[in-house]
Amino acid sequence: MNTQFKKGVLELIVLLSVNSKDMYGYELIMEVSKVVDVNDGTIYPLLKRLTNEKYFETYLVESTEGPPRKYYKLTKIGRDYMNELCLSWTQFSGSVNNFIKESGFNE
Amino acid sequence: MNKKKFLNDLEKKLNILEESERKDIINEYRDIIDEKIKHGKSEEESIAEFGNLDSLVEEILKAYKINTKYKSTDEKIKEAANKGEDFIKKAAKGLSEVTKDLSNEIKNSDLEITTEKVFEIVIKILILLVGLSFLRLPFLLIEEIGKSIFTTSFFPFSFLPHIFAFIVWIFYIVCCILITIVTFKDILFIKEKSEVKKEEKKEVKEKTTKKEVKVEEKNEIRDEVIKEKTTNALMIILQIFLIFTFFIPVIAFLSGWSIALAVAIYLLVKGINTVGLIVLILGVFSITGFFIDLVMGLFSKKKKLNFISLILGFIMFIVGSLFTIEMAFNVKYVDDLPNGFEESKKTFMYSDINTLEIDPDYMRYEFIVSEEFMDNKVAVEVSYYNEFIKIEAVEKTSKLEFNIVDQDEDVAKIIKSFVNELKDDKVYNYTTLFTPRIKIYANKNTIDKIEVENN
Repeated sequence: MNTQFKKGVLELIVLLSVNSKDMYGYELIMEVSKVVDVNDGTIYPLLKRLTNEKYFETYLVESTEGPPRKYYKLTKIGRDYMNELCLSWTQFSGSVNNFIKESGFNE
Repeated sequence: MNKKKFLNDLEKKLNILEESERKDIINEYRDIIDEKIKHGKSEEESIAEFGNLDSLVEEILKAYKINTKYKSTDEKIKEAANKGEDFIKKAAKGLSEVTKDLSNEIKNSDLEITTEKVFEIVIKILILLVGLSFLRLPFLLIEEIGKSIFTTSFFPFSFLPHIFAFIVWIFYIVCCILITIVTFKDILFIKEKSEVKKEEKKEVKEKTTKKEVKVEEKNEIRDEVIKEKTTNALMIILQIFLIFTFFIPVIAFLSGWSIALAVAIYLLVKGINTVGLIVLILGVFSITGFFIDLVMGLFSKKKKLNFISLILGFIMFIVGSLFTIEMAFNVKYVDDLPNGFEESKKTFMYSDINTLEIDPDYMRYEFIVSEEFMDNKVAVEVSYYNEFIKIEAVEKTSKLEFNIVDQDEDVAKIIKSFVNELKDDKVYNYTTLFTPRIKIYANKNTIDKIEVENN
């Protein structure tokens, strides 16, 4: 999978994942890996950044098996940002797909 | 690599962050690794999946808008400024919480100034005043050092120390202004902020949150840009400042010593053993070269210091001075002229003189009692070197004045004589060439009555 594409779309996938359900770090990595094959090292810094920019909220949940887990939750402006990205992506991928069709690649 | 080592290394590389943030990050990574292990991966595998540690750290720090690659004094200035800012903001917050009523009143009016802001401004002004007065001290020191270098080196212009002091003072003022701008940047740019906020109020509610985020981002970026621009300006000012306060005095210093070196080499060629002196001067050059290197290092960020030149310079300086001192002790100083200079004598006869006008710096005089003279009769004998000066005596109603007229000096002759005598370790007093000797003959009564006025 092309690294440039991955980088661009990672944020969107992370936001969509957390939108469907509040998740903790490892869970999120697993979820994202279903769509895009990424280096675990890049996911957590991304989470940190999105949290610092107030798109995510975090809360701790006590766990029986060990230390408390930190869960990530989408905030209102996080959701707004996600919608924005989603829209941009749809428009963008739409234009690219059209262009590919016009260049006769699919035939 | 095992989990403990990985987490330790990660913690060390993140030490630029606040402790709470750092702990938070380390905990999260620990959890992720534990979780992976639970799901069947080995410790090694889990850690390897994070990739290269340095890239990881870079990515993490990006979230805090920290530029990790640029490690220089710029960053240290920014850090210091930020820490100072945080401290001031905390103090301001504490003070504002005490006066809640006031803040409500002000909020109801349409001003953008909250009590927090007011206290922030007040504290900043106080700290600024104290800080700037302390800042004057290093500038004063540089001023004094520069001034003394200028006055002791062989520079022909006497007004240079004052110009230098003036330039240093101007740099100090410019620094003060820059620091003031950085400290009060939010207030100076508050107009733009309030305009943007007014725009925001006019928007539909659904869009306000989005705008807020954008405005906040814009302001943050603008703050960063301002901070960067002013720290860059400070760096440039610092560099220009160094050029004036360090390099120009150093050039004056070196030119003086270069002249001394030239003289030493000339004497060596002529046969006088000035090797010690030359070694001493080269030592001085070496030491100065080291310091120039040191200062240049601030410009080019090279950290390699050539200590050898410093040590070598010191050794040469000490060895050279020992030889020079030895040479100086061997030389005999004779308070007279060597042979080879022609002396002339002139005699004047006067009566009724009771005042002599003499300039003791330029003339030597002595009274010689001769009882064969009658009262008030004076004979004056002047000896001088007519290749170099001419003497005229002017009588003005019982006062005798001497005027010295300089002739064309035969400097080459003086130098030649000096060098020759130095070969024999002798130095003569060549000022006598320009000093006439006056002998005044009269009887005791007359001499007692004569007054000598200083010219």
